[in-house]
Amino acid sequence: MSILLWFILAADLLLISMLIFGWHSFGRITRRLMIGLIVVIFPVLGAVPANVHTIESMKNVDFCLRCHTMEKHGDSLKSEDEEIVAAVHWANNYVPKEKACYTCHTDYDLFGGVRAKLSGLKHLWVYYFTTPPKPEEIKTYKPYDVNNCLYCHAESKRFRAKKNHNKEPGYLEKILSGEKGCLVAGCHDIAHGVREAAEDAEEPETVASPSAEGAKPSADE
Amino acid sequence: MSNKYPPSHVIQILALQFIGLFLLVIAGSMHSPLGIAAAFTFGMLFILAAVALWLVQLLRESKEISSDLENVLKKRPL
Repeated sequence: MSILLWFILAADLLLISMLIFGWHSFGRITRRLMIGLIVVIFPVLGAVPANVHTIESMKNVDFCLRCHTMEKHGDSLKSEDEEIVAAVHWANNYVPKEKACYTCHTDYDLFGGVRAKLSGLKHLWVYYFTTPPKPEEIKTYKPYDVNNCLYCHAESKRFRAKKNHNKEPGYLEKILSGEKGCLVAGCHDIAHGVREAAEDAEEPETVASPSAEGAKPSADE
Repeated sequence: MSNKYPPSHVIQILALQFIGLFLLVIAGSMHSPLGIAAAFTFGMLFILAAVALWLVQLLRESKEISSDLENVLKKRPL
């Protein structure tokens, strides 16, 4: 893609040079056609693949981790802790590894990608023009949409058969309707484990984390 | 001189278009998200400015042509 874009740019430069240095040798119509080609056709030829290439590259994990505040969230993907939702998805290939952030943090609807880009612009503003929050203070702008989980899990036989998803009659239906969230206390409430790790670091005594107590289902469930 | 090289407004249009396209091409290979956003935004703005200038120029030329034609018709009615 990149080579194609440089080729288009080189062709554009060649045509501009031809027009400038051969101005006197072209007729009025030819000049107009050349200017039209340069001003309309080349930007379309160049801008479309350039935009696609740039926007596609923004879906990659390495792009999200270019802001240093996100490093701990990136590390959480590779954690061995099976209570961390992000780590389980990463380790088991439940999401494409190169687009893990984008896969979970973009709504699965028509304008989900557009909203993700707008959120990205907000991140940009916060990161460069204000004091960015500490990694453990980072929150999503709105509560995590359970439909993003259900987009993949809802039709999974394994998900539907889980004991914890059927702990009382009608419980699975509540999950599927969005009435019962996935990332709620007592269920899959450790998304990245960054805040929990910071809280543990603040309490050096060997106090067991409440999230690690027996009532909590394993990440496998 | 005036016939050898294009008039200044054409040079401006061509320059704006080339800078815009160049910014769009380098946006994808930048590391900093701010750099990408800036290159992308300014690239699009430069290209749109070039197109707008070109359209204004076309409009101006077409008006000139129509007024010339009017003058000719006044002098020599059909």
